[in-house]
Amino acid sequence: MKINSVLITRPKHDITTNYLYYWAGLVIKEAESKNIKIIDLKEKRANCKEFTNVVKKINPDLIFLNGHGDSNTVTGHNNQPLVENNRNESILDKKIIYALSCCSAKRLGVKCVKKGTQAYIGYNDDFIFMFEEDQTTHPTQDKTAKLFLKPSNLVVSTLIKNNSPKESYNRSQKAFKKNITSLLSSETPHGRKETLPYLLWDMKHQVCLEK
Amino acid sequence: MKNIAKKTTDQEIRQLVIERLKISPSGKKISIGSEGEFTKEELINHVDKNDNIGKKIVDIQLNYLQSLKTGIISDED
Repeated sequence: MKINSVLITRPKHDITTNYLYYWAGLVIKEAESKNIKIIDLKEKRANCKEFTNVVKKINPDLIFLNGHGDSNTVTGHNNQPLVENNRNESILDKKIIYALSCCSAKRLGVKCVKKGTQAYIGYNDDFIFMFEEDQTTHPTQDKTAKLFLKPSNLVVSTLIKNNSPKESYNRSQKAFKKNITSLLSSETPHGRKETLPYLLWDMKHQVCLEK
Repeated sequence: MKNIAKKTTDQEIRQLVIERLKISPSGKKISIGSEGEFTKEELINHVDKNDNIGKKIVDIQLNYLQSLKTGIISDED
């Protein structure tokens, strides 16, 4: 499964989207090093009009959505909807999707796959992460957030190495599990173990929906 | 009698979660999607009020404790 082009949406209008924005930036660098075409709809460009135009014009193989959402919606800049159930989900037809967004796999993802999306990897409940208050200006250096966002990034990192959606999902699951088992060891300093319930939550609610 | 017993249990569970949150270190926040970002003190307040965010945190903590009991986490692929 060869990925030639990736569309990434990454709004940056609050602390949560700021973290997703910078961590998605690491995936962009990785994809660029593989000469994959990247369309980066960042900040204000993460809006429905630009998103629709780019999808129709470029027809990307993979779409990496970062932002808030709910069971029927994934949003972009200022929480404006990009993709909504029963409105424009068919725009994701034949694409591989990774939605780093709360709950969207619950209904939107299911509907997308029914309507022709090749695979929809996402979360069927809230995606939750912890971060260090003094690292919000350097999100990619935040070791607490890394526990959550590195396994998440692995979905896209694995896909751009021409692995299947299922394999990409499996590797992300293993990375979450590795972090969990490592934190359970007695040597883990106090202050890091409190991430465990949230890591387990994300791992359990990450899903790969396919035809 | 049954209702009183159930209510007491729910309160005990919330208190257990609050005690777990209390011992977690300061300086970290939790992002819960579009709900926002919360300090441990704010989370404790939500659990105490038993609102939607509080119920979510109780759900997450209980799920974790049950997973420890069932050994789900330690299962190797």
